[in-house]
Amino acid sequence: MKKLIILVTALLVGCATPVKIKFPEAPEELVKPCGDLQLVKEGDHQMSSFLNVVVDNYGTYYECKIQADSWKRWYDEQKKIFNEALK
Amino acid sequence: MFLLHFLPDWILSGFVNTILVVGAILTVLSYFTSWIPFITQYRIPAQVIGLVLLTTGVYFKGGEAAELAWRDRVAELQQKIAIAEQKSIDATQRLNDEVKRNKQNAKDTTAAIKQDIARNSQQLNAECRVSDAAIEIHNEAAQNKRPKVTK
Repeated sequence: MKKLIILVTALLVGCATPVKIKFPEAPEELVKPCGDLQLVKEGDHQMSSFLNVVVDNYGTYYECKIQADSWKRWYDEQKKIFNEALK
Repeated sequence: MFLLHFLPDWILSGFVNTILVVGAILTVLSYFTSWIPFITQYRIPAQVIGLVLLTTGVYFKGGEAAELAWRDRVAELQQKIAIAEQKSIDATQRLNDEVKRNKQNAKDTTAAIKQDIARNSQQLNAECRVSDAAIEIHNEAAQNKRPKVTK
């Protein structure tokens, strides 16, 4: 039985794919989480404080948009590279 | 046959060629040297062994060609993948640098706008007071919360 197992294992070794493709690493800037939106302090009725928070939140949105758009671009580029290689 | 993958090309070719050549020589000798007295007594076994080796050699030669063709294809594929992996790393690095630059631009723009707010803060605060309701609505929106009270 042991010999049979060894034989079957040895034969199955040949079934292993000799060519391996490594899944590409994502850019480190893209794997960072998006920042949370800031809240206006209750009781702070100043327009300038309110606007500061709004502007910070818009900034957070734009940074996150850059990341989201870049994910799609990264995926498209990687797909093109590997599809061309395996043609 | 799968275990043949582990043999280097030269061992595989050498083994196959040896069988083929020995088989061919033995067959030729056994058929055409019957006039030599010493060899005559081994003629029949030499013919059998020679033909078996020759047939096996021809069979192995075909197998070897197929095996080497597969090895060439694997080597070609591995080379293509190595190039693709390098291209992938380069593209990733380029994109990473671009994202970093664009995020920094967005941060700089935000900072510039906030400076503008600071410059105009007196005027802004004098002309407008933000109500509690406005703060509450803003914070609910920022947290993606449903409004507590809708008046």
